[in-house]
Amino acid sequence: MVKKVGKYIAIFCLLASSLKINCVDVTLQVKSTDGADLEQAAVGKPFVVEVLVKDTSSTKKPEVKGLDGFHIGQTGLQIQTINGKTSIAYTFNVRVDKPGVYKVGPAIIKEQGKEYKSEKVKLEVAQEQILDPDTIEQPLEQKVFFELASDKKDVVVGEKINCRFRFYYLDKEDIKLKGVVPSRAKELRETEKKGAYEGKQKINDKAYNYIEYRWSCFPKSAGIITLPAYRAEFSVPVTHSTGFPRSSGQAGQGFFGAFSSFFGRSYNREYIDSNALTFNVQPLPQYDGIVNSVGQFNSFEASVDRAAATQGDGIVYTIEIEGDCDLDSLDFAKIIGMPEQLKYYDSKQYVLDNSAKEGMKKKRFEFIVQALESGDWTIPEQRFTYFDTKKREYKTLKTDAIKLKILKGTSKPFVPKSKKDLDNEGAQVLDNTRDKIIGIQTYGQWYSTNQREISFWFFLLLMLVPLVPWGVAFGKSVKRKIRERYAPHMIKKYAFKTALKDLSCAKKKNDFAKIYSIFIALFAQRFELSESIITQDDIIKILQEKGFSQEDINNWENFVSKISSFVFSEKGVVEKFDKDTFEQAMYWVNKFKEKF
Amino acid sequence: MYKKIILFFIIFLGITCVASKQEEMFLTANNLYKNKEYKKALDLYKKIEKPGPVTYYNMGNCEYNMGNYVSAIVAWSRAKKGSSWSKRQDINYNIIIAHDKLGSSYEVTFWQEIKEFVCSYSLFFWQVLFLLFWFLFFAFLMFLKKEQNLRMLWLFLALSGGFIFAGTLLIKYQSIQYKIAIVIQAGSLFAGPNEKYHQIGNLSVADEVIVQKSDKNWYKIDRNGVVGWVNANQVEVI
Repeated sequence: MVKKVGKYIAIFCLLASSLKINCVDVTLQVKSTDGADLEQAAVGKPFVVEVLVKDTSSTKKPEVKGLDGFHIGQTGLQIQTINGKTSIAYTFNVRVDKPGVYKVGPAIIKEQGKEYKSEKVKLEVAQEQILDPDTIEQPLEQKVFFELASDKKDVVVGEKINCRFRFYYLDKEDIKLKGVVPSRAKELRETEKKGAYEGKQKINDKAYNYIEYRWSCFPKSAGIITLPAYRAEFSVPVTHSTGFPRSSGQAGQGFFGAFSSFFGRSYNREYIDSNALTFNVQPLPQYDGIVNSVGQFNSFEASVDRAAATQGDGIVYTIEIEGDCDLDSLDFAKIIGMPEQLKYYDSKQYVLDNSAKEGMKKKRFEFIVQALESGDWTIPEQRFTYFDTKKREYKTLKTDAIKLKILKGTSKPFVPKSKKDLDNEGAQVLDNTRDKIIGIQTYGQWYSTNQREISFWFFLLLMLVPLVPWGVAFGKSVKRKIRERYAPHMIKKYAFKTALKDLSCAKKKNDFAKIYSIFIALFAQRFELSESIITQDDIIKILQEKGFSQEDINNWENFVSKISSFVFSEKGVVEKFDKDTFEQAMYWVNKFKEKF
Repeated sequence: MYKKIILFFIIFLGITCVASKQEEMFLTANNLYKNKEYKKALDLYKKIEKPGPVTYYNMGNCEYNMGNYVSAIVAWSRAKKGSSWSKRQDINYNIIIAHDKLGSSYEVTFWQEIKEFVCSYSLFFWQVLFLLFWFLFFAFLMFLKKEQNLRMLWLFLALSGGFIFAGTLLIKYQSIQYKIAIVIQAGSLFAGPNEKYHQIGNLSVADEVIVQKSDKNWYKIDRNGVVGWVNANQVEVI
């Protein structure tokens, strides 16, 4: 009975737990890039839509409704398993470029044939209140902040907007800007960024350094245009406490964390988003006629390199405009009212940065004018109409009309073939041979062959070959020199060793006669005397000088007389003497060694 | 035994047949070029299995006459490998004309002339020359030991020669180590291997750049001292 009840309880628990396992929970949240909950997002600034799926067994991405119109960037996925239960957090880095109220969600996930939905989340997207560093009242906690700014917000189509971004970081902090990931708005034409400009600024009694880049934008169409936030990547030294504020994305200190300080300074890579910029672009007011540009202009002039030429010769007609506008896009394709007898060709156009007025630049358009008939001709005044962004009205600038005197000539009219050739000074007629390339080759190496080469290490080995005999010869000469230099000293140093070695050799051979010569050689080497002239008296003198007692000297004399007799005696007589003689000899050598 | 001989003969014949077929293609392409059928000539040149400098040169000419100046520059740049110095000068002349057509300039500086001269000979040639000089140098040193007169002069000459040969060898090694690429599509130079990185410069068509390394579909290049990343589709590696 008990067993049956227990069985039913176990089955019931299994069923209940399996039901529990199949219960998937889906939650949708909107957060800022540093993980905080978000109720209001800023226009053009990234935030995160997080879908948390609990108790799931599938890693299939959920479908999130309501993200149409959102700009979706990176997506991420984090899996966590605790006590056998898996939770997955899916993150979507998104951005909205237009203000409004949006409904994000629901997030739908399908698992084992069932559909699980999250709640919808209401999100308000509004313009961000930009913290103007000059007007901040409350003390700033941040060590870095990243600002995107422009000089105008309300502009017309084509009007120049000067933009800049600044990366601020606290002075005396080891923070380094690693890079900036720019964003783009397709309705804006942007120039190349110039920088980096460095500077210092005091904000609320705190000294900040900044790095700045500048560029210009020109809106291409009317409407509300958002330049999304830029992202700055920077490195910051690792701190053990969480002293670094969570206003930026944090990569984490990693496994070694606190131990990293033992291995020297280590850095974390972090990032921070700037604010976005929104421009209110109005269309240009109605105008009957061609509008050449939008901006401010100082002068519009035309000139020629010479007022008189021969028929068929080329005259350079230059139009120069000075202004602050989108010069790169500015074009002057047509000369209005050119007489039929004057033919003109595009030559070149270039921008000059040498304007006297600040912010203004000059652009020149050069044309080659060729008179087909002789006579007096006039290039009429040219007009340039633009929308003055300061006075908010259309204005027209005019050049002077230019008179030309064309003389009858015999030269044939030329047709310019290359702009490059006309850049050369004095070049009036192109050298047509320059267009001709050198003809093909009909023989030679038309197929490729493997290039022979000596491998690098073998090459080095070959280079060492001549060094070997040199090295050997050099080594030998050095050894010889050392020997020559130190030989007497070595002989003296090793005299006792040599004597003992000779004695042991003599003992083996029973060569008693050699004992005497060994001692003579010992004294000669040790005291640097010649073997042929050293006498017993010299030896006794040395012994006396070295402090040998009279008894020792007498014993020595007895020993010497004994060994000297070996030299002259016959072999049979020598054998009669005791073999202790060698031991005695060794005894005397060691004694001398101690005393000397 | 006889079977082996016959087999060897067949293989030899096969190889010569293939080789002669390739040569036939080359000669036919030359004739097509002379008849101004540039497209057909180019297609035939491209079919040659292992094209050498002459084939690349002729391909460049075909591209030029078809108005593809950038492709012509690429083909001519490839033709420089294995070409003699005089032929390299002809190639440079053609490249200058192609650049004129594109509205850009191409200058051959004195230093480039030296590099061209060095690269016109094979690495093996310079290695052998250097080793020869190296052995002679040590032989000279033996001679100098005995001859006291003019010792300094001989030593100076020997060392100068050593520097020159070592220098040419270094230039040749460097030319092999670094790849050259030609920009075929104007675009931007980025700070990293992704378009999201900061733009640090612009590249014009037909610019010559040095490729330092590659990362997936991006190349790290050096253009006149400015180092940055460019999309691989925008350059053609020589």
